[in-house]
Amino acid sequence: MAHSNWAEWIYLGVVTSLLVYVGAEAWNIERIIDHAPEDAEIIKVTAQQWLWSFEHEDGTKEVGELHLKKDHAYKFELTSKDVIHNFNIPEYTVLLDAVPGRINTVWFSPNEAGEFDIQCREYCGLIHYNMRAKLFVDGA
Amino acid sequence: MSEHDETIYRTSTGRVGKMMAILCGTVIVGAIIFFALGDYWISELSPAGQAFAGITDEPAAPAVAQTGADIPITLDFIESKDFRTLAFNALPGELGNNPTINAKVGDRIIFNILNAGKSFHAFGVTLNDEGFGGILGSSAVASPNSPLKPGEGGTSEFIPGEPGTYYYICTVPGHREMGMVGTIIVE
Amino acid sequence: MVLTLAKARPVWQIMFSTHHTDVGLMYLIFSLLAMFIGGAMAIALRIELFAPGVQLIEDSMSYNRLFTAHGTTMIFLFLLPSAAAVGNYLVPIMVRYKDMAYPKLNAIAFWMIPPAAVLVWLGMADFGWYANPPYSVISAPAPAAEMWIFGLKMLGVSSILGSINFVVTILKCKHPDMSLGKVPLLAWSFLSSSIIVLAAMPTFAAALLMLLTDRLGASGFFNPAVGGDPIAYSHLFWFTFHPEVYVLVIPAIGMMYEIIPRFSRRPIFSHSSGVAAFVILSIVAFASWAHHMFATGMSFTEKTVFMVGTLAAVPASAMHVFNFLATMWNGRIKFATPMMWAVGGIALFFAAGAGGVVNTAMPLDFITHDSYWVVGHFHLFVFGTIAFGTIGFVYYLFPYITGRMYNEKWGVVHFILAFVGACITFFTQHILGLFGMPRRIYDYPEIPEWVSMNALISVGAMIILVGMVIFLANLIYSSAKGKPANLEDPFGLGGKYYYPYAQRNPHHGDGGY
Repeated sequence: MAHSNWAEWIYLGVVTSLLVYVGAEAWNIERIIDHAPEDAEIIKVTAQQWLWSFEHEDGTKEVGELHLKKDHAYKFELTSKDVIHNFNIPEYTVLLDAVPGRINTVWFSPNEAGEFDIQCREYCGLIHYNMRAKLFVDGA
Repeated sequence: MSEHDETIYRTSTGRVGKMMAILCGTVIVGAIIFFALGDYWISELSPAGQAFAGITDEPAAPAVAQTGADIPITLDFIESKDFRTLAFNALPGELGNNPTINAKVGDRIIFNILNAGKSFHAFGVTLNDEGFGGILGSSAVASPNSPLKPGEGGTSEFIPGEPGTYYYICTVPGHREMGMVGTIIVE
Repeated sequence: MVLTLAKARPVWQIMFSTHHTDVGLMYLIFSLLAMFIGGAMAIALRIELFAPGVQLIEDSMSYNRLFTAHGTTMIFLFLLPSAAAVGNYLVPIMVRYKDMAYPKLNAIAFWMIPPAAVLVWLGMADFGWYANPPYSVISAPAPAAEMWIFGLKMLGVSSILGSINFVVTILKCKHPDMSLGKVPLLAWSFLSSSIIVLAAMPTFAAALLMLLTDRLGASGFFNPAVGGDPIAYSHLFWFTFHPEVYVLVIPAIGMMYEIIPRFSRRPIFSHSSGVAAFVILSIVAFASWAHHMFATGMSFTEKTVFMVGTLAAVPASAMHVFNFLATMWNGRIKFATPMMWAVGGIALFFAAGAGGVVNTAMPLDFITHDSYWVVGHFHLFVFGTIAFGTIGFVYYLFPYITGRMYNEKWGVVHFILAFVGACITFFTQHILGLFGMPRRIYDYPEIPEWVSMNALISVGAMIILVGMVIFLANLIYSSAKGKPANLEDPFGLGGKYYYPYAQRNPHHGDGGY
């Protein structure tokens, strides 16, 4: 065919550069946030049908609620007792699968005091829709 | 493309009617079969699931001479408002919470179970001191996969064949840990 | 169009036939039936989600079974068979052959689908259409789960048999004077999607078998309690189903390649670009599967590899969008119903792709994963692009199949309701996902933003419902009592652009393509 294709090549060039930009920016940000800081306090999170339980470094256990301090780094070690769940604190963009048989880690540092929702973000059965807990961040 | 002198109708009212009859008829028959069998389709747990829950094919508590004594007990599933705490009959701290049952070997404990909460529950007696498996004999009322909806209830009985400490629990995974457990002390 | 008979044939003769037009017609009728059933399930879900608390569905188990059945029905019983319908009807004609390469196998491939549907619909398993272990192994109730597994096994085999047929018909049975580069783009779309199925589907067949043996306790592939790895299933599943979503979209794009040039009264801007885009997409489709698994705990390197693989597929899709727009540019467009659906489909395809780019940017996925953003995103693809393209093509084929015209006014009304409804429903779902609402939940707490958006989404769904009811009425009524169509030019396009492959465009020096 004798159609001139220069417009198509320019269009593809624009699309590809946008995608390269998105990819590079995403790669960079993920690289920065992928590793937890050294001094992050470890919180063991156990997911099970259909509740969350937590264990602090000093052995304190909490079920259905979690009390943390503002501006401290925390690293969550997630596991599950039965099926795959997903630990999610939407207001802090904490999200990672809790998989039985392995430990996944995700970290954050809450910069605002208050009450936040914890929910399950992977279908896990009958009460998945109500597998919730509360995060309390103390401003102290 | 072929030539033809007159328009050819590829369908007619009759044919469309027959097609709709076949399709709708099949769907309706299927729906009847589905609803007639009710919960059958979700009534079992897979063998791997049973192994996980510790449910085995072992026979129930050994047959034992009954004493003739009946111990009826009413147990209601209740929940705290925030759904974080669960219990039988009364919440922790209140009178009647998770009543302990005392019995002798051979007594017949009759459970009258009612789901007085808003969530789903199921009942059973186990020797295991944690978890939701090992449900004994005919003590089960409903099951985690086919639980009691709010307002539903049932009865079951349990005749302990050996002395020891048994636990009556809600068999829905997690509910025992949230408070739905009581003890049966058998002498 | 094909057989011309003086008298209508009995229904049973059509059902036992192996001729490609009859098999195509049966695929079409079955897929439309499944579309309406799956749609009814969606409406039930949306009524329940209209507000917090119980609206329609009394318990979460029924809700969970409904959304599983909805997803399974729509993908395997509506979208795949409707593509097969169009392909069966037109591919042999497009390559100038008398039938598909293996007509009896063709009929067998179709007839496996209704029993599989019976298994899926009677069981109504509850684990979502992904069937992720360990839930699907240790927690999902029987016999529903086994019925689903067997049903999907049959559907996978049916898909593979159909794909073999398409590949052999196009590559080996095409007319000797037709080179592969001259094969029409709709046929190319079936060639690409069939090759993807042949490469990808066996993996899922294996995964299904492993899931079954795991459930029976005979193996421990995915069950951590006996040493297995549930993430292994996700890899196997998504290795099939990411390419599979391209299998779903590519035929719909092929259908748009039929509608858009014809109704723009211009030849396609670049046939070779279209071919190249299909080929590139088929290959790159295999490089991106684990973008569905960013939240499972993958390493940074793994995530980067799959992000790049996902982004690499976007330019190929962009080529199709450009091709369509360039074809319409300066065209004398006739906005009949099929054209509206095709153009609406392109707009929503673009929006869906843009949302996909957000998902694949790794850190952003941790906002959107398993939330209503994802639901909105993939519905823009499956409904906004694929269903739009398919429904438009059904309107386009209608006069050829039935000999009658559908009611154009009601077709336009259907389009407007579907498009407005789709925008309200699926764009709002994107925003709802940003506010954190998870997928696959029976009920939700009284968070004000969630409540208002869910209500709006349910209203949008009802708008789509009204359109679909009109569609059903139009199909049934017009096929029996519609105005007889002018089979030479049902849409009044004039001259050279209506019925394909019997006419050639004399303006093009190389003889037509």
